[in-house]
Amino acid sequence: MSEEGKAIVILKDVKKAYKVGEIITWGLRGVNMVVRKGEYVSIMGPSGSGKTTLLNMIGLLDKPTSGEIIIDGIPATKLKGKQLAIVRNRKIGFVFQQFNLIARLTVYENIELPLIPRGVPRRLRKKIIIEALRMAGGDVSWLRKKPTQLSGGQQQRVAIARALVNRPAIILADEPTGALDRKASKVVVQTFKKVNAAGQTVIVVTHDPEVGHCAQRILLLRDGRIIGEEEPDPDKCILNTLKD
Amino acid sequence: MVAVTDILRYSYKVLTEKRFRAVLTVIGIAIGPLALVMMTSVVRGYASYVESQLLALGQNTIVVTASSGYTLTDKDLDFVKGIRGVADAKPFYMTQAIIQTVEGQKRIWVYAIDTSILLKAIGNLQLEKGDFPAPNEVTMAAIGHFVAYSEGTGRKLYDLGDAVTLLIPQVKHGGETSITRVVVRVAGILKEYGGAMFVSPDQGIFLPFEAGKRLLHMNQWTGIFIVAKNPNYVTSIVKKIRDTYGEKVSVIAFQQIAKIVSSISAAMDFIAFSTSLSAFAVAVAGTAATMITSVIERTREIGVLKALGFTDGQITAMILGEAIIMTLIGASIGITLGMAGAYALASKGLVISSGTSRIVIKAPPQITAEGILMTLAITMVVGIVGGVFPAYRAAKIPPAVALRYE
Repeated sequence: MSEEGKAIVILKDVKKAYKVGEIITWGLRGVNMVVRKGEYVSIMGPSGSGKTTLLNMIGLLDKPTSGEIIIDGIPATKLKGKQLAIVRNRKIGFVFQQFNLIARLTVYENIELPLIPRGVPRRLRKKIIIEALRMAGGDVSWLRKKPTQLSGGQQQRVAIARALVNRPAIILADEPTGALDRKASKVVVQTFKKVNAAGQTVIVVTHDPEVGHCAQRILLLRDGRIIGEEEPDPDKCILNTLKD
Repeated sequence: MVAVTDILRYSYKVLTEKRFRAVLTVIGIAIGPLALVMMTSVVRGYASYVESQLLALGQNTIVVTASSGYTLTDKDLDFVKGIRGVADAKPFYMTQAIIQTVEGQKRIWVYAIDTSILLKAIGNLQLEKGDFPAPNEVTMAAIGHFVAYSEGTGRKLYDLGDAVTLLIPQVKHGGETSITRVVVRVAGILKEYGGAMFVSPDQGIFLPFEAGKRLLHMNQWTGIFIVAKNPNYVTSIVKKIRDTYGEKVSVIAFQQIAKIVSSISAAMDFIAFSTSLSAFAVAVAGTAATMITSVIERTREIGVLKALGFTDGQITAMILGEAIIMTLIGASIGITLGMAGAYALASKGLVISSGTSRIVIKAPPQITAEGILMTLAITMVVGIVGGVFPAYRAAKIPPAVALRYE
């Protein structure tokens, strides 16, 4: 089997330009990358290097100016509206830095959201939701609470549960520990490790070395280009640097 | 396939978060159906009542009255009788009078008319007891139901054989007025008729034709009652009289008045509808403003929903769902209040005053399932129109842009 045969994310010369008036700014200047099924990859780089833009491309939240994106064998750059939404729903689970939980909804309802476009019958949802919350290290007693009644770390676990609930092949996390203290960050990384061990691909964008070094592979991004890979150092991973 | 219940549940949750704003929008939406139901049902109620009363007076009936300066005579009566399609024609006298009852003074109409044409001209006129006076019994009268009984309490004021004193104001030459006192005896009491248009049987006293001259001392006929062979002749009879007499006489054909009332009521209906549309226009603007604000506030949330796999169509449905829920609540409140308001408005009655004459029409509002459904449909269109642009705008926000929104 070729490398691309096992690949779940392939980016071929992906470029993204932002045009403001006459001024063109390049977010990505030709990214080539492959992430294989079941990998845990960190994308690291300084602010403005294009990390979030790259994650938006992989997550099909934005369209590249040029280049090709293939997600789990699907040529995503050729897809439009509804098809893109279906791929996002079935293949990708998002975890955001600011959690992006909907404050008016309960924890249950927040985790339930990805099941709605998938058309999962309501009678089947509760079991799936509880399973996802437990997988994310959450507690069933949170289900009836509103997100604002939980701590930042707990909210991020709910957000991870929401990302996991559809059992997507890929978990994309954009600075998932950016708003958390180290203790909560460690729990998030533990969850990603657990999810990855269960076979799901995890791609984490971070500028935090303690989080980045927990991955199997680190891609380094500078000025919209992948400039190379760094061998993760387990001793720098928060799981080892922060003792219980 | 997304369940509609999921969409509506989500939309409802959004509305409950900003309750005050949603309530204000619902109030704005409710004004349109309220105004439409209230105004059109009251207008239609009055129109329907007036038309039915006019038609009850007889679709075959025509009344010719002399204009000032012209006196109707036997020659005119013969001419009228000779017109094709006329079944019968009889002259009559009519005046207003005041009677004194235990409840105080009461203004009534006094008619001196041949009983046979009266019964032909006014459908369903029936006696409760007694009889109509014979042609030569000039001091005997059949009295209307609300002459015999109090309109408010139903208390009996006059019975068979009672004397009724009529005070008849008369204008003499030179403009001087005097009161003529006439006493008649009750020969019959009419059943309640219910009509109050042009001829008022309930507030009338009917004397034999001869009493007009001999008892009321009226020198000129007030007019001629004409009964056509069937309603199809009415138009041609009216035309013939108008062509012959011009401005010398006034011709009233109840069938034609009913048609005019019908067209006037249709025009009023249109005016009421048009007026209501302005309220609906405000509702569209209100709904759109609320929804646009809501969409702007939730831009980031919309980005999250798209990231989670909601399609543009599902986002549109959610935003439209909010508009539709508010519209349904607004329509329900508006229609309910409109119906209540229509009954309250109709209970006051429509007062038509002309000189010393005063008629109060009390008609129930005409509320129909068709009208309610039409109002509901218009209100739904309002909600959808108000919600479409914000929903479209929400659906078209690129998810990456929405997620960056602060």
